[in-house]
Amino acid sequence: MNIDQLLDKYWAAETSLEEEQKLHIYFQSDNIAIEHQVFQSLFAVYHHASKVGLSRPFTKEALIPSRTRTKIFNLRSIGIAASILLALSVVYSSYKSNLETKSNIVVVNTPEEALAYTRNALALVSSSLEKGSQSMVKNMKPLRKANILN
Amino acid sequence: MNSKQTNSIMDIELQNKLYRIAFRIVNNGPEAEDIVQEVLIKIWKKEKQLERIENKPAYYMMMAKNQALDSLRKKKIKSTNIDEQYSLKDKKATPAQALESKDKMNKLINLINKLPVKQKIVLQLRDIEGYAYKEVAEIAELTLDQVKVNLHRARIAMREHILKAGLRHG
Repeated sequence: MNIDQLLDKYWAAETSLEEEQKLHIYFQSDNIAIEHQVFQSLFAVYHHASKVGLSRPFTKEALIPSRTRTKIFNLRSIGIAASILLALSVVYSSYKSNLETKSNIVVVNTPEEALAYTRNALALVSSSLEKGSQSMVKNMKPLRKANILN
Repeated sequence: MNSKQTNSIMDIELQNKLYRIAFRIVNNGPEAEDIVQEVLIKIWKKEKQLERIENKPAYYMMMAKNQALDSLRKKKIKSTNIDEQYSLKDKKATPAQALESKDKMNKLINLINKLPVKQKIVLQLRDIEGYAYKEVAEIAELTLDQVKVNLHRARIAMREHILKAGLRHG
């Protein structure tokens, strides 16, 4: 098929992509027949137009809305702050606990003093145990009523 | 003709294609850039929903085309200077020849811009971007017959203008 036939098909929108490619190659060459030179500019414009582009490509940062970026930043900041507070509170509790422990240390000078403090400490433990067993008895009543344990 | 396709919205060539179709419709560079940004943000937000789309680049082009048409309808967009958009550097030409060549190119670009919008879109997609008829139909949301009719009319219009104006290259 010669160029004239291709051009006729081209104007009629009946050319394939391959045939149009041939026309583009022809009109970019240095061997354009005089009768076809009038159309050279047209194909040149199409070629130039295909090279036009953005002044600067878009990046992900440019696309993510600033609201969403701020939201993500805030959530992360809250998480980090919460972790720091938790760590500080654990450290403080531990420190305070150490202070209390230290303040509970009693220095005794005689065996009689030591015996007295020991008896007091054991009474305290016994009292706690009794409270615990009373509480247990109290909690067992509903279970006995329900005939679970008998 | 460019037949490479990519699905990533970060691909520069895809972004440039979106820009070119938007620019062809609104004929304003900054407006076309805004349109591309809006379309890319929409695509990013709808990422999951768009997973089932088979031909994503064509779908993105359709989105850009529609966004540009909406823009055109809503606003009175002023055309930007062609010189800002087309950098036509012919290294072999003398300054006088380059100026003459640039002037002829500008006249042809103006002719394209004056075509009815459907013809402009179809011409852009086929003759400039090199899409197959089926893809042109998908992007332009026309039937195959409508694509060929509009393309035929656009090409004839360009031919007639060239022959009347006697626009010769060089």
